[in-house]
Amino acid sequence: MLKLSVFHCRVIFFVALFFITTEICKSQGFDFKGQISSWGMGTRNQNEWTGNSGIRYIPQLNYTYSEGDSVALNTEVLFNLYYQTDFNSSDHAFKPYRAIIRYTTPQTEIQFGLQKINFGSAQLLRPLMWFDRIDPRDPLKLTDGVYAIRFKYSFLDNSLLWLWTLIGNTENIGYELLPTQENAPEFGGRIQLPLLSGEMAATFHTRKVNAELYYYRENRYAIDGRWDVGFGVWFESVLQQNFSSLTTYKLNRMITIGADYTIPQGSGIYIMAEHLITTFSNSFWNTDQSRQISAIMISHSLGVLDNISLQEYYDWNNKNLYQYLQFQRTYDNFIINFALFHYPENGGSLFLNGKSSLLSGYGLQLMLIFNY
Amino acid sequence: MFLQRKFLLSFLIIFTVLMTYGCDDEIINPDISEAEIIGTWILTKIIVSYPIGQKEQSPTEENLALTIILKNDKTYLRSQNNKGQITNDTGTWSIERAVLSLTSDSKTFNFPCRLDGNILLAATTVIDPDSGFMVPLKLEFSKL
Repeated sequence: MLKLSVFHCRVIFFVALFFITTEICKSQGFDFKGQISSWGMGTRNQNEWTGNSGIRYIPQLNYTYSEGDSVALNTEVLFNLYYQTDFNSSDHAFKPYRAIIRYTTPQTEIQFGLQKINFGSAQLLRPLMWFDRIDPRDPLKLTDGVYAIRFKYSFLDNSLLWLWTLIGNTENIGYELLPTQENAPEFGGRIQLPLLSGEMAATFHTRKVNAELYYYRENRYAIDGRWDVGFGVWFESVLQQNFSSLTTYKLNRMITIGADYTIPQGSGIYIMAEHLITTFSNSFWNTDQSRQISAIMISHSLGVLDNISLQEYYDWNNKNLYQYLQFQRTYDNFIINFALFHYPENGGSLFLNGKSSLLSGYGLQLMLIFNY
Repeated sequence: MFLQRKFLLSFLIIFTVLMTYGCDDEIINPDISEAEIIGTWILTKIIVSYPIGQKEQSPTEENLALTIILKNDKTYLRSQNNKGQITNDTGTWSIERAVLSLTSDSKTFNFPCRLDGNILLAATTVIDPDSGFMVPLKLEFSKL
């Protein structure tokens, strides 16, 4: 006899509810989308194979109300429902993924709710990964959102002003190692200006860190830019300042420089390279600790449906090489993604995924993605 | 162009002001008396904070043994065995607003603490050799 757990009942209930609601609301101008993905991964590390498999469903409900061409109100609600297992233990969740109300006028946009905030030009090694954790290897580019109010103002000369406040985010975001003090709002802003053949931006963010035994103020300052000079060049430079006498280092700097170029061969071979330097110190002019990572990405379209890409990372301090080769076939609604990877045994920490054994060694991953 | 320069200048001024403005650490439970902390403390747990969350380890997993004796005369003795490398040092200690200061060879190390009965939690930060990040670390000691 088939036995269903509470989780399975919940899954069936929400899926049924979603499809029923979809059918009712279709006639009222709502827009429904969704994505179902499933994956299987095998990793060999320390002479042992381990496996990981899972399924994820992301339903999305959009609603748009507009008055002429100038003012619009959008709502966007997405859930993240997944189940994964390593065949010894399993993990599952049903959680909100995005919940946004967006009001736009010709020059302004204000967005409330659980949302993704990201900016900057770097693709693989991103000092400006402040509010997201997009893994460059992930074909779905999934990242949890932050609870925020974000305002954008577009000037007529294409300059862009961003202002934001975050509140109610008690878990680590981006590179954060310690969460923000509960109920303490975070503030920040960014100004993006056109400059020569590209653009340059200055960004600021402040928050109160909850170090469990004490709180302290953390400020982040960044300057970044991107230009096209026959090939693309960019940089991101971040200074994080800890106003604490109790942390080992008061300053953390991260600088990435990068460039990309498409070789006009066949459908084009895209080549991109980045180099990241991270330093820790107590004074602005000294460096007490540093780490350097280089990365390259090469991608090429093999016809209309297929794409192959290679990502390579080299950690100069630990002398570790990380390799990720990805093949993707894309149909209208269906994507097949196959990857081969090779990481050093301590490789997990490069990608902000913690010390999971599944990110060490070598192996393969197959992912099937269906969008509707 | 004038507006761009004005905004950039404003941002740079804000940056400069904010970089020089700071506030003190705010200790959450600042009440630990000297009498409470005197004794022999043995490391029993290591809690490391990574971006995806905390990881608890026992000192034996890390091949580490650490004992700190805080004496009545305000001197301390630290005995450490880190993967076979033995370190013994002495110095003076003090505690103010739950921040334990250990001074040895004119170097002072400050550890914010929380005392819960016979369990002492001390915070610090170290560079994680794998990730290169400065990771927050909490050391849990038990009183002998």
